Amino acid sequence: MKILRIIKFAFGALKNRKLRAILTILGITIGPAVIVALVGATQGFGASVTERFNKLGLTTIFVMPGMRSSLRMDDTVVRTISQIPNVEVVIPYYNIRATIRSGSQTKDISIIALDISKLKSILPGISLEEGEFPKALSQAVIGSNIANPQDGSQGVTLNNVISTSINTRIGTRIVKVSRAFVVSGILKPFGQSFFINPDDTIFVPIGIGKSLTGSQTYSGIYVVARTINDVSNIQNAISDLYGSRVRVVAVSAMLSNIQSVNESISAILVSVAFMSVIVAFIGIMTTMFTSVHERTKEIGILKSLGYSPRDILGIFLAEATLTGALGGLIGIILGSFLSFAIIGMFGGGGLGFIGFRPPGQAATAIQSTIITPIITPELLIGTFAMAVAIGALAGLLPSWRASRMIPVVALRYE
Amino acid sequence: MSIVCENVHKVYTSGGYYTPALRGISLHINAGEFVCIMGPSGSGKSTLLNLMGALDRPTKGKVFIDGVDLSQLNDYALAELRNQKIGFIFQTFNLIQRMTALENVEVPLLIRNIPDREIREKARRILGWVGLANRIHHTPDRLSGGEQQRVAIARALITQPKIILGDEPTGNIDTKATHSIMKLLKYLNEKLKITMVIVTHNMEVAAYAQRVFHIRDGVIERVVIHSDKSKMHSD
Repeated sequence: MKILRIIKFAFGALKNRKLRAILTILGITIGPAVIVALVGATQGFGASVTERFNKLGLTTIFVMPGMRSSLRMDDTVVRTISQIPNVEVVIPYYNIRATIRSGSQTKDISIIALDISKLKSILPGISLEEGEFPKALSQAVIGSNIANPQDGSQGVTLNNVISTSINTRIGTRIVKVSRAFVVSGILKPFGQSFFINPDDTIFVPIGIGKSLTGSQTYSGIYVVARTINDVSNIQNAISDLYGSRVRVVAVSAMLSNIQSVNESISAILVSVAFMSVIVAFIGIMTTMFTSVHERTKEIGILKSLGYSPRDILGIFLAEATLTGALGGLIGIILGSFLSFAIIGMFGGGGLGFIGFRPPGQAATAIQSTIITPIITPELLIGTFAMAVAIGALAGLLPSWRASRMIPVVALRYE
Repeated sequence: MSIVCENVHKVYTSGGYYTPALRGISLHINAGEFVCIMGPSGSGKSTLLNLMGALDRPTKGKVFIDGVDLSQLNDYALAELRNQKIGFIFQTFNLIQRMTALENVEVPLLIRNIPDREIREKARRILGWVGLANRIHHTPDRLSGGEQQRVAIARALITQPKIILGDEPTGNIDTKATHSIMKLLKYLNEKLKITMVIVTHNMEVAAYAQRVFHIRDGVIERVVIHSDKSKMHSD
């Protein structure tokens, strides 16, 4: 029997029992939909994380004083770390909490004082929107959220003066100090990231940090490894030197941690989805057994008209496969939409989802970055093929049983 | 096409019980002959018809169609034989309820390598010929018993069979329709030389046959020959 005729025959039989066919199809829809949705969403999420980490610099290692550490992060520490093999560059910095006046209200920001010429080694993704990096101590380069506040208040333009209010310690007293900078450059929007949030940061030359804090002790040190493969050795070397007196965080390690968490969550959810595929398998098989049973007489009629066991097998197998195919098709379409919904639900707030926030930085208005699910043709075709295969496999036993019926016995069935 | 039965036995087993349905039937039906099989309920007449139609296999003995021993054929060859040479007509019509008259008539040809358009054309023509030209898109539930049986006859005829086997084909239809169906079958027998084997309870139906086999308790009780009956009904 020609394949097209078999499909037509099977379709006619499905149409005859619409409600049951629809329910069976819906039963198989859930598995592929969930698989496409989850894999698409987690891959999109993973890709977006990777992209951000790449901007952050996968060779960057953050070294900060440990909790209640007595370690003074001074030039001695900088020199010691510089001597670790394969360290490309060591960049000490001051991270100063400050507020700026934005419209009628004040806004928390960070002032990071560092050797500005080395900014790109730490954050490869950073670039200027306009202007230039500071040349003088009175100059600053500002993040895009400071230049163009998200709350709609008036921003700051190039060569304007931006005044900041800084809490600084003089002896044992905390004193509010005002400090103004000329904006020499404005950064392009960077997006949410870890430890440094360039969009809400004012970068100033390192000399300012010393004068503002009045100390030689840095807030932390950025260490840049020569290659990504050197990162863990350097990380270990620093830990060996200072133990718990420092906190060492490598961007690449964070990335692989997040990715492995992301992957495990995805694996758990997808395995749940596979359970639903097994349920669908049993569902199709049950429906097909019922269908074969109900159509015993029809099988007898077809056999009396000369349909061979193979023809009968084909007709019922086509019906089961068609059920699987329709379920799979609806499933992957539904799943594609669903993956956008999942991202919208969990990933809309950028990386806030992970609960990570730059230390010493308030929860500023997060510039929501759009994460797009990654739905590859391989994912769609693979999932669809799985649904088709499930349908065919589930139909095999009932169809085989139909094909083996003795014509006269089947005909006598009422 | 001739049908020969040689000492055919059929025993049904169910739950450890053996029920003999046929106990040694031997007969010879000539090509182009019109015969009827009569007998009380449970006499084994339908069983015999099913064996002649290759729908079932005898427990013992042999059935030959056109000289071919059916016991030598596998299920696929038997299916092909049914499709190519034999047409069935049943008491309950056995039409597929979800299909229209036209679709039902097409069914036997769908497994053959014939273009769709040709099949449709053939089915339409045969339905017209059996007098159902304006009923082709009706499903069986919208047709009378006589009309349904005509659809079934059209379905049997579309394969151009050499043998038509009828299992009480007029059992569910009224007297008037019975005669028109029987005249149709008689016409097919005489004009197309199709061998007719009809199982019936009805003496009026049996009157159309050249020979009538009377069966009781699985054996042939007697054979009645109506030598000139065909002439009587052909006018």
